[in-house]
Amino acid sequence: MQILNRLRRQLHPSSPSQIRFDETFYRRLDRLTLQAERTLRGRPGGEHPSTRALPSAEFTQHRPYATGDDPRYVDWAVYARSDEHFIRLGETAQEVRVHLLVDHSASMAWGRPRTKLDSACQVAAMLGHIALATGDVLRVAPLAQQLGAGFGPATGKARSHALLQYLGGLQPVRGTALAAPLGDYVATQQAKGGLLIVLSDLWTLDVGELDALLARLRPPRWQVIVFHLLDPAELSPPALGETELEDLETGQRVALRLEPATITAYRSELQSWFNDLSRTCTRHGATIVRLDTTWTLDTVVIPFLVARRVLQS
Amino acid sequence: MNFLFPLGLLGLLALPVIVLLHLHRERPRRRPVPSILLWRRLASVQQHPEPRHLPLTLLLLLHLLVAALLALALARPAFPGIGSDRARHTIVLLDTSTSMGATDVAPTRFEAALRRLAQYYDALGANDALTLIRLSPAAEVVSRTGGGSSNSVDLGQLDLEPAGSSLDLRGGLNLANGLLDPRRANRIVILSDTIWLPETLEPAAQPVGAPITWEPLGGPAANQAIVAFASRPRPAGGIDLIARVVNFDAAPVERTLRLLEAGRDNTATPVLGDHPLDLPANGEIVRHWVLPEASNGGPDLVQVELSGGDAQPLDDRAALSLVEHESLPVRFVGPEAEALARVLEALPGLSVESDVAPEDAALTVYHGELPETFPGGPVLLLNPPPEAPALRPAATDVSPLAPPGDPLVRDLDLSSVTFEGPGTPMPEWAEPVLVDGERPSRVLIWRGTSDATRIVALNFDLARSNLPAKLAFPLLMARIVAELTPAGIPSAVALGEPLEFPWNVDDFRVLDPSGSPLPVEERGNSRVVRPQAPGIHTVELGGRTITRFAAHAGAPLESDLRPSQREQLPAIAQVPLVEQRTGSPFRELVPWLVVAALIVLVLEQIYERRRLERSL
Repeated sequence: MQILNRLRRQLHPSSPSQIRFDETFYRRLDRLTLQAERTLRGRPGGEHPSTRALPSAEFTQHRPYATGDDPRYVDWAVYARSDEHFIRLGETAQEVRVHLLVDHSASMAWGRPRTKLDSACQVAAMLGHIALATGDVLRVAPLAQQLGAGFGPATGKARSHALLQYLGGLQPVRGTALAAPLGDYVATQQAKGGLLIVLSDLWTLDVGELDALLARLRPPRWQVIVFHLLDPAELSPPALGETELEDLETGQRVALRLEPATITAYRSELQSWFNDLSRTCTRHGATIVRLDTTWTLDTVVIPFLVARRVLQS
Repeated sequence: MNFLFPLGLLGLLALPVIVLLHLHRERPRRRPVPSILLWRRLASVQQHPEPRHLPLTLLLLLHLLVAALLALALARPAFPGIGSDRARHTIVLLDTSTSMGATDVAPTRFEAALRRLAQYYDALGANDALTLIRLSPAAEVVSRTGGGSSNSVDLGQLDLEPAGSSLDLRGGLNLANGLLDPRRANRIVILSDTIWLPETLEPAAQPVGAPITWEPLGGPAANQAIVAFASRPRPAGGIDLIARVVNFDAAPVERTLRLLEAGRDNTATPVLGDHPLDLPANGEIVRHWVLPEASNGGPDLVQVELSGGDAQPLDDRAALSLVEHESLPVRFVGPEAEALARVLEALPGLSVESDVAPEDAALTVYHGELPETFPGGPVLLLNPPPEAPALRPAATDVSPLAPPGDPLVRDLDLSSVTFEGPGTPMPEWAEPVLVDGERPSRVLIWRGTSDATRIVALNFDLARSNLPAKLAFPLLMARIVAELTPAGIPSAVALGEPLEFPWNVDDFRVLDPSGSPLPVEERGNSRVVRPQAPGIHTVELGGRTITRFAAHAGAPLESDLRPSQREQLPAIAQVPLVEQRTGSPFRELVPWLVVAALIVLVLEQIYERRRLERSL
């Protein structure tokens, strides 16, 4: 059956992949939440702890009453003792705006047995479902040369099926740079902030552009997690001898002798690129998570993300 | 080494194609990658790839080897003399009978035989020789080649056609026996379809002294044929036309017989009648027409055709000239012998004329006198005068001995005949036919040829003999006339059979149906032609058409393509027979080349599989 599926995918590479989770997996996702920073600002009512002191029945501190405050949160006992009006403040859970930005450029349509786009959509579907289930406000935006039509804002598990259908319909498109659409998206959401998750192979996002972008996405308004998806063949390409490599995005070609020494040099360059990306993300308080597209969600990806404190159970 | 199909060497053009394919195959393989961002940096530091060169890989060499072997195999290389150090002498007996024109072997059996013959010529080594003997209508050597450059023979110049209603196999074997070369390894090859006439099935004069290889051409095939098409005048006027159609097939067949008026240019039109024929299995149908004579508005030439096709198209049509031939004039010199003149007038095709010019006479009768020189045409001497200078007697007085049963007098009852007259001594160039039983030195009838003049002499006084009163007289005269004058030109002859014309002239020619003159063979005072194509032939004398005759391909034995008397060949040749249906005169290398190519292909597959395993 796998062979047939592969064959069908090869014959119809543009057909949308169906994303389906079984009941057991859904139950497991329902026990997970996105580990959002407390500094994020959202409306009360969610499941994410917040560092903001809000009028609450659970007391942590007082502040002077201001016009417009709800009289229900006036600490009448303090008023009796001091004849001053104070509002009772306390920590309360909040909802978070979750932004899932999925790179669907042509380079993402590469990889076997499944493409990086397939893996990105599966991870996005998983994270989106977790966000919807925990009452977060979810937005999904496809990233390519231009910002495509997105999904959301949505909240509640009832939208989970629509999310899966949306992600399953994403098609790879040719694009040369992600910085512009990312910047456009951030500009529209700059006032609201939230947890911004980028799923991409980052081939079309220069380190400098990433640095500039992350500079606009600083905490506490933003929490950024970058999922860096790579196929094993990108990590360890085979030594094919005389080869003409063709860029899927630009169509440009470069002739090389893919021999062991070349592969070693490539891996060195790759590691250097990884380091640059990590340093850039760390410098701006962003989290970068490298995912192998061959990893399975339930046995590898979820435990890995829990360990990386992206998810918590 | 020879190449039996030199065009096959064009297959060697595949070699550069293979090299180009390998160059194309060895060029950098294009591989799509998500990004060349990092690779580009490597390319800038990596030495530029070497310019493309011919990849001398084992795979390329194996491919070239396979292609070369197959191209060589396609050209059919062969060694003519492998396994034999002795020079060879091949005697090919080629069946040139009409049945070889059958088309059950494409294009015809005869063309297939010529192709085989060409292969035998091509296979000749420097010291080999080949003798070609034609078997029909009589065995004769057509060409002899031997050694070096003379081996090349243009078969088109040998005037070989499938035309002949008989097959002289016995004569061919006798000829071959006489042509055996003791310095060479002899072998005899018979290229024949084995449709042989019974009279040829006689043993050769002596056992054939060489192995015989018989290569049969064609197999049993159904055929329908017009085996006879003749005319005869009706007593009440008009001409009877008779056509005999035979079905040489075990199944009945329906065909249509069409009678047409043939044009002088061998075009057939208009149609005089269509006759559907339900030919029974192995049966025949005879059709009959009555036509007016040509002098009464009837056609000069007619033709019959069988509709449809069969294995032998040559015998599906036959033509006939309906114009009566003129009688041959007989000229009398000296007192006319009434009894003889009466007999000659009674013989068909002869007319006794007194005012015929000497050169126009078909037969000259000298009665009691002799000219200084004979006129050149046939001469009958009656009671020649003694002491005639033209009949110089033999130098020695030898008692002549007439052979018993000479054809002229065989079975004639001459016991009560009285021969009177002075009688003259028989000339030295003559031979006795009939000798006086009481006086053996007296020759009563003799024959001979003097200065190309055929002469028969009745060396007695016919007027004083009682021979004219005997029944034997007209028979004897008919035989003498038949011997002296060739038969009149028939209206139709069998294809390939020699036809003799009694004219010793140079401006004589016979045109075949296509208008081409036939080769004329001089035979004494006669001219002999051999029709090679069926149809109407035109006889011209002095540039003037004097008559036409038809050549028919249909013959009961030649048109029957079913019988095969091959089992009788060993009895004829008196040596074992080797039948070779698909053999070649060469030792061909094709099987070895193909096997070698297959082995190389297997090696190539093993190598390619291991290469793939290594690359994975």
